[in-house]
Amino acid sequence: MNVLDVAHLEVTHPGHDHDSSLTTVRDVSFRVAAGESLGVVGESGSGKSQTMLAVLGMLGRAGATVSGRVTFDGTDLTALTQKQLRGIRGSGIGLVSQDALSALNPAMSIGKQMAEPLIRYDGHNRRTAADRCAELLQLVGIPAARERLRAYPHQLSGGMRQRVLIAMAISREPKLLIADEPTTALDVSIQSQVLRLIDRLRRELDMALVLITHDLGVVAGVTDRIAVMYGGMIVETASTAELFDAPGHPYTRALMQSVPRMDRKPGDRLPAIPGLPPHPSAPPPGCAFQPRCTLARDECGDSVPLLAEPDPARAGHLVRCPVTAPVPAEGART
Amino acid sequence: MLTFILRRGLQMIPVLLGVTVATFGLGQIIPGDQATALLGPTSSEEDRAALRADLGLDEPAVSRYFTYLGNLFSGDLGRSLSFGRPVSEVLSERLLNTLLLSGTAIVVAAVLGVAIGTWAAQKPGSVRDRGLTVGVLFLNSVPSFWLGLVLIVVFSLQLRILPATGMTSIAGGGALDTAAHMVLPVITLAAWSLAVIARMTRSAVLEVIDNDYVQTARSRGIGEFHVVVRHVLPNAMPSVVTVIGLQAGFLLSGTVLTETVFSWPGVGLALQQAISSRDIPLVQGGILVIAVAFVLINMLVDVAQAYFNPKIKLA
Repeated sequence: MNVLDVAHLEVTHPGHDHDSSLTTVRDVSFRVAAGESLGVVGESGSGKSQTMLAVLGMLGRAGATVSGRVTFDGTDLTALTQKQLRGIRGSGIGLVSQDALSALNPAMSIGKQMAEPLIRYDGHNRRTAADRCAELLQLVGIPAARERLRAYPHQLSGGMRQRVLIAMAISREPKLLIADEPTTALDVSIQSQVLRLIDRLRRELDMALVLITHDLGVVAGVTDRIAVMYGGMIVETASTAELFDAPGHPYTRALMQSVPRMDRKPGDRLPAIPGLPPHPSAPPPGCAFQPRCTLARDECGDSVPLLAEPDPARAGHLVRCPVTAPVPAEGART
Repeated sequence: MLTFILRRGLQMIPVLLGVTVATFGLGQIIPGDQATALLGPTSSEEDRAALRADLGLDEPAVSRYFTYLGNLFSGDLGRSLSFGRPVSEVLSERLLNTLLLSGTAIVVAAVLGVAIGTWAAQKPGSVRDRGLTVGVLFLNSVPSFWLGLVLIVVFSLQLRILPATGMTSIAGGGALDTAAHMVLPVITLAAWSLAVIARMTRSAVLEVIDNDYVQTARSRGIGEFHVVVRHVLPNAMPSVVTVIGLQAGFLLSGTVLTETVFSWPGVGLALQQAISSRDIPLVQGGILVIAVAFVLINMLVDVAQAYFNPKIKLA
């Protein structure tokens, strides 16, 4: 049973005139099963966050057009009104955003912020909401939870704020938790704590998880499957073990090589991917990665490659590259 | 919060002393001789000298200042030369009228200004947003006495639906009658401030509305109205409150013009009359009252700032 099923999602932001519109998400399809955890990996501007905001129906304010289908728990979210979507946000899908300092309202105590939707929509009164919030803070590992409820965001440390944000996201027991770069703003030592916390909560509360990150190291330990995004498209998707074992797309391979490793000799240069990611206003012809790809051939610029399953023995491992994963004659998939 | 208010209150003392120096000094530098103004140009030099001695005008300025200050502490603002009554009496019966007028005006300007500014900021660049910009430009370009006169011409003289001057009808009347008399002066007073507050609110809201925490509130399923009221406005308020406070101050001084145009029996009208009849104690008293009100408003603004920004309160 899929909690989330996204099919052919496209996000286009209108420009000042017809020619300058930006397509930030292109034909993105993925599924998340109940209790499953999916990692979405890509660098800045690859469309990962845009995809998730589109899922939550939160791009309308910016004037973006979203097409495709987003099915959450059997409901087509793209057919819902903003008012109906509000009923899904928070209670069906929880969102943890990346910078916990800017993601918390500086003018409101965290207790008040946490309690707000509980009181407004879930029938709590002040007291029961405060109890629930203290319980949640305890659950995310914040000591002296009761006193912390009165604290303002600037009085908490970065790790603490991120925990508060996680507590807020799970407060209405969503079936799906979307964590958008939850560890980017944190120290390395706190990063792993927060990741372990998210992983633990997912198991305890039986949530599905979408973990968005630019860091392959982050998703390695906590996700079942990984989707790699580049230039607004999914270029590879596989189970986590499979992806690390046999990365198919040249971009995935290059990403893996640029992860710093302990066993490298001191003084070795960290391999980097040359060039810059494409700007959505001027996507390169054909494969989006082709200008930076070391394996690129002439035909890579001809058309956008399809997501294909290069090895029938490795079912569910899809790669969008005609060079490393040529489309088999039959059984081609998009 | 209480210690913050106390601390802020203590800081007012030197400011208020400065205000008394200024109002006293003002009485000194206003050209013209009080004795001449009182006794008329045909009076004899002896009479004027006797009156000056009587009023204490022949003493040195410093000692007169301390007498003035001492009198202030006992609530004695001197004697109005034109009314022949204590200044405190003349002003206190008019202060309430002025506060009623300017208080209503600032509330109208603040509530409507914040509402309109927020509403326009929901859709930047839309028709309503452009309408706001044009309206602001218009209201800020119109002098208040002109607006007052135009309102009188249209609503009192031509449409005959609202009274033009005074605070009550000659026949007398209740609160409703006073309210009808207030409509035009309140509009006149509030117009400028409303425009400034709306423009400030618009830009403050626009600055806040794309913040991550607003996004967070939306992502938790909170309705757009509550997102704006609970998450956007409190964070946009500090700059808006500063402007509202400034406007409240300007509004008080603006009452001089508006009360004159509408013959509203307030401090401003008394001040205007005092200035034209060189009634220096009344001028000093009127300005002192307005200045003290200004200082108090500023303190209120600071308290409001602390309320909206916990970092100030706890610092």
